[in-house]
Amino acid sequence: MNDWCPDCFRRTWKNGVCSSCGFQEGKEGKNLLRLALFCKLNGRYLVGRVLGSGGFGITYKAYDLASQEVCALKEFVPRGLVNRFDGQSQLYVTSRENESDFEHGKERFMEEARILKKLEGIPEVVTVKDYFEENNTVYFVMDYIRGVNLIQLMKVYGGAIPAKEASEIICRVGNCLEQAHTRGHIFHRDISPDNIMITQDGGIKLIDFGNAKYLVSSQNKTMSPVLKHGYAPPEQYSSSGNQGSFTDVYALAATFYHIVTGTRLKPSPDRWGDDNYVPLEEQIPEIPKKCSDAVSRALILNSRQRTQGMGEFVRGMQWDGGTDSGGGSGQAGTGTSRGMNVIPYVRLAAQGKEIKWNLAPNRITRIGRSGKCADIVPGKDERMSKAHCEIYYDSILECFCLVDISTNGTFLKGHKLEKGKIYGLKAGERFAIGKDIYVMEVGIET
Amino acid sequence: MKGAMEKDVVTVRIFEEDKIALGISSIVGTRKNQEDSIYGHVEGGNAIGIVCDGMGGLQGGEAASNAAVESLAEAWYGQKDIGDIPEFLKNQAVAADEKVFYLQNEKGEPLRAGTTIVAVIVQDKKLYWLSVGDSRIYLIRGNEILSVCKDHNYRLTLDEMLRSGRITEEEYAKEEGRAEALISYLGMGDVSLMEINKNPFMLENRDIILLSSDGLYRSLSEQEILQIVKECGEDMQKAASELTAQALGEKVSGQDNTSVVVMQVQYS
Repeated sequence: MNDWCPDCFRRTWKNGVCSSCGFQEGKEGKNLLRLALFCKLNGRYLVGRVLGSGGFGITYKAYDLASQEVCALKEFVPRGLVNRFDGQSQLYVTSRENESDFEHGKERFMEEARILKKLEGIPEVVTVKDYFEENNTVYFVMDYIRGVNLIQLMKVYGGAIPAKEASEIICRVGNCLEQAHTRGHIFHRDISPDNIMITQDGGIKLIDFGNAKYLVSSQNKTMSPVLKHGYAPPEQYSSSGNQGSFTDVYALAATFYHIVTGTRLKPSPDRWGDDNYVPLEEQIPEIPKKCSDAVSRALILNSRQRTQGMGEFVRGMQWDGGTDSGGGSGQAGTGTSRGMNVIPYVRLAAQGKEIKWNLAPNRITRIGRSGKCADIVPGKDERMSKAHCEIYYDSILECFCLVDISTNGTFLKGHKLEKGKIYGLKAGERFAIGKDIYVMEVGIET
Repeated sequence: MKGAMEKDVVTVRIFEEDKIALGISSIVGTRKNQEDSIYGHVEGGNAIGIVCDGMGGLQGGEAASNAAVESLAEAWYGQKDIGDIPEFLKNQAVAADEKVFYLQNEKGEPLRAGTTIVAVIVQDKKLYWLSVGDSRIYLIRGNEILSVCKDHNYRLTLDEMLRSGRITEEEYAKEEGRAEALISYLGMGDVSLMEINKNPFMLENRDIILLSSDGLYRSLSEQEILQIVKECGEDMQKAASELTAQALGEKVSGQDNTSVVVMQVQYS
């Protein structure tokens, strides 16, 4: 292993420097609890350098010998409770009293893996590839994301991200969170610019679901580790605070505020009376009032008075041609995404009618009977629900995602879809409202 | 006066009345507004004391602390016989929380203000208390002083996290700058974290109960507070005024609103 680089895993390591990627020895700082470099886990993962560590665990860069891919490996290491001896891999609990805390902690840690597994299909969420137990602790393996986080992106732009681009990024993250909230019943609880990454191919990844919790769980009121001051709403400072989707709403709005002005908000407990809060429209003229108001409402300190749902926040954030309720046939909004040069659409193919609706990429579009509840109204048949199904085009995966939310069902290839589950469709494929009430086809135009 | 009757002999026995001496004081300190509100009332051997420390910019803090004091004081005043006092205090805390939550400014917009509250009720030598936030209730008996409630601030959360191993000592130290942030107060709309003693504290002759907003204990140590109170003997009003004066005297600038309600029970 002498010539293996702990960062890129190429065999170009010599004299403490890698000639391929430039990684240098000593760059990551000393971490006394870390696994030995290049030890092998689960029979396939080679442990590389430390990417980060916190109160709960250590994240390493790793190499999957089975798939020959670089990945990220997260290990559960609760600092107050365990120790590891030099050269050994086993983790030891430091005292008998800590045993049960350690067991509980392992369970909670694995919940992050389970949460991510549950959110599979949402493009902005990191994929969990594997999880296992070893060395008396637990691990899970994720895609290694190459890209920059929003803090780094701000630096690239000289201090603040241009408003339009920033709002598109935030809306993308907001849509992802809305799905996590409504479909996975999960909220993130740690949204900040360093948890949002722009990948090399222009996509967006939301990382570090380590604080995430199931909404329905009775563990709702558990504590979070050290907070992100400036993004965390007041309810996160208390171990008995009620947290919910509105917690993520605040954090996302605070993130937008920061990336677009270059200045972080004061920690929420210090924001009494909002005396010094300057609305965005007063700081950045190009931001429309509607968007500035949406942010102000999302930053209300009191969780009961704040914007409750991510969907509402995102709708307020949208700049041009946002999909406000009252849509019908026609353009369902514009929004662009990096690297986009296709126009996805959905069309009604039946009864001599040819109606086509263009879709905004990566934005959830509703199909149903009511103009108030849906963006696309194929017709008025009573058997179709007011909001029957949702569809969006994922520009990274390059496929359509369909979700049934109806009374009578949505059908794909004759099979009734499981309500709430995300199904993928390729361009040219068809699905039906009800068994055959309206037959819709998806496609893309270049 | 209580009397006892025996057949055709009327015997009137005069009991020494329980007495409660009361003192109150409230100063603005170096701030622009007074956002504290206080109330103290004695009726025979029973008493109520309330201190509320409001926050919310412009007139918000003042309105919030006022609303909370009025809410509780009126409820206590209006009830002939309260019955279960801890239950009463809990219900009143929730009621005051709602009232503050729904306060509006002149434009009819939500005021978005809040307030702490410390309140004590003395009835038949029994002491009951309520606390939401970081104002304090001290008991002074002889040469000892004791703060009876936890401060509802971020430090409470940090202590729990440290104890359960979720954070390390270094992380705790890093977070300490934020430790004073309030985590529970009236005006949240769904307040749940509050201190109320289910079992009454039995008072003894010459026990002193001191309620204060954080302006006091951020300027004076507990020993200093004890000393000042003792020096005033049985004059509770003097004690109250001395406490606020000395709290102000400690600082040239940056003295918060400081309010105290102090009472001494005198039983024979």
